[in-house]
Amino acid sequence: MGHLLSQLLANQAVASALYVLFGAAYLMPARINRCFDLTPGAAATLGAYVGVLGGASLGACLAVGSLTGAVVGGVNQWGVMSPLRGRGRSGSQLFLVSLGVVVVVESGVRMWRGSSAQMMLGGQGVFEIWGARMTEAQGVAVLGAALVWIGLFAAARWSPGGRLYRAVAEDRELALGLGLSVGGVEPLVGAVAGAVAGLGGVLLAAQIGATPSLGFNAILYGVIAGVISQGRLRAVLGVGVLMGATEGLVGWYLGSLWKQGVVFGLFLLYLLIRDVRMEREAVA
Amino acid sequence: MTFLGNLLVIIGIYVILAESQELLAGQTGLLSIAQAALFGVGAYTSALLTVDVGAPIWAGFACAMGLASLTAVVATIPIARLGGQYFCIATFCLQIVATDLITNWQGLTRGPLGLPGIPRPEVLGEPVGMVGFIVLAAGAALLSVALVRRLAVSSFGRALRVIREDEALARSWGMSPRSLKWRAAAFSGALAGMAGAIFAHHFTFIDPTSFTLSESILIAVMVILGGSGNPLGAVIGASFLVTLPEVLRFVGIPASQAGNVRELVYGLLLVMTVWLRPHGLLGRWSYTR
Repeated sequence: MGHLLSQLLANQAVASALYVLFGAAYLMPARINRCFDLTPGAAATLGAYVGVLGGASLGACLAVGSLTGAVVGGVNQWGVMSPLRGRGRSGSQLFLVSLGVVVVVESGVRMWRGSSAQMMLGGQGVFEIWGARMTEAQGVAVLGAALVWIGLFAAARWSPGGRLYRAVAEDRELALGLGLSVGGVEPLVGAVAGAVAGLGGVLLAAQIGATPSLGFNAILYGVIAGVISQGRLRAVLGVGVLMGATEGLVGWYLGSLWKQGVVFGLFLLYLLIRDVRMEREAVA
Repeated sequence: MTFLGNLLVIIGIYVILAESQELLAGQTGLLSIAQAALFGVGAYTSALLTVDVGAPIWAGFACAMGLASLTAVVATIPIARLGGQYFCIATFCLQIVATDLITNWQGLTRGPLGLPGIPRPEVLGEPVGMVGFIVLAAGAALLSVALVRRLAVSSFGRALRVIREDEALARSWGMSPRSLKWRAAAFSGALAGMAGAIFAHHFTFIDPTSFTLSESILIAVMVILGGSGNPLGAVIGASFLVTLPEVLRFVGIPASQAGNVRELVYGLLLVMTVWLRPHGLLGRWSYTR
């Protein structure tokens, strides 16, 4: 029973780690673009494929995947999202564009490598911790997510770039008016988010294999983590852990087939409750 | 003939689906990413009633439209209060929950195995052939275009456009946005349910892969590309995107890649439309919230 509990906790820790990564990857460009920005999903898919195919060891896969994700995220923000914001497109329109970008990458990858999962060879060695068995990739996911979250949180809070990011995220027009380098920070944020998404994509691919829809499915969970965190990077950690625990419980009681439906159903419920609460606050 | 006939029937089905989206998105300003779920409700309702219960096909059609309409209303009542992007995301969630239900409720839907042996309608004791189905699909598509056009120019349609532009203004004029939204959802759901019933009885087999998130996105793209706020835009968008993979096959792209190329093209079109022509080809309105 003790081993079973340890294994359950380890599985939940891995799931939580991935949610933290995708939640953070979603949150940064979403705050800048003020929309449900799904484009980190494209960075995750491409990062996963290039990482899995291009790296011999887990470290090389992660490096190649993150770099690919950073390029995709940066180029997308610089070439698509920022110009569209400059043209005054609404949040709904930017959301549709981000959906289009994800669909383009997903179908492009399907044409390139087919629909079957590409399995990763590196990082599959198994180790035991407190009675639970984990692969190296799972261990790296847990540690990596913690380090990435600490790094992003510290950078956003104390670095000059982080302060610039927060200024642009709060009020882009004011930042422009104050002469801040909005055009410089936006692609940088896109690249950082893309790198985190690429990292998450490789770590997810190490467990389930890289598939064309990997990034899209993953970033939907990132949306949940980002929305429940109410745009606060520090809250993503707690929400990611909560989502991992919820998914684990649903898998335990209802079976793994129902996990996605229940998690999204609960998120829908959250959206409705949040809306009612906000309305009450507005009336008060 | 079979190829062309199937293509025409599919165009008809997607025109109906695009019109159901047009009524919600173009006229009411509520972009739904769950139309494929309503399409699935219609298909499974009619298929289960005719296969398992032995109900006549006209009853299957009527119940498909009724249940899809009811589902749309029940889903819309709580989420219609969420505006703009939040409505989109809420319908995203509904679509994912619906796909999970269709796939995993195997006792009812047989899950991934699908439902075979769905009967074709009969006329004078003979099953309707391809020509009959083309007439049925084309007639239903024309009816849906006419219905959405008629609704758009009626006082109901004008009220929908007022709430689309400014809900607070609509309230100050004594309109009830919530009631208008669920009435629009009821019409939209009925159309999607009708498309589902035609689909089920034409192909005589259904499985969850026809009612997924990507189908919902495709239906949304049809309206965005063709143009929101104009029922003819939905016809153009649906016809173009359904015909595209078949045209690609004729220019030498293998059948196995045609679907992927279509997805690639519609993703690119989505980006380009918002970039260059946010109103779409024939549209009168774009998503400004």
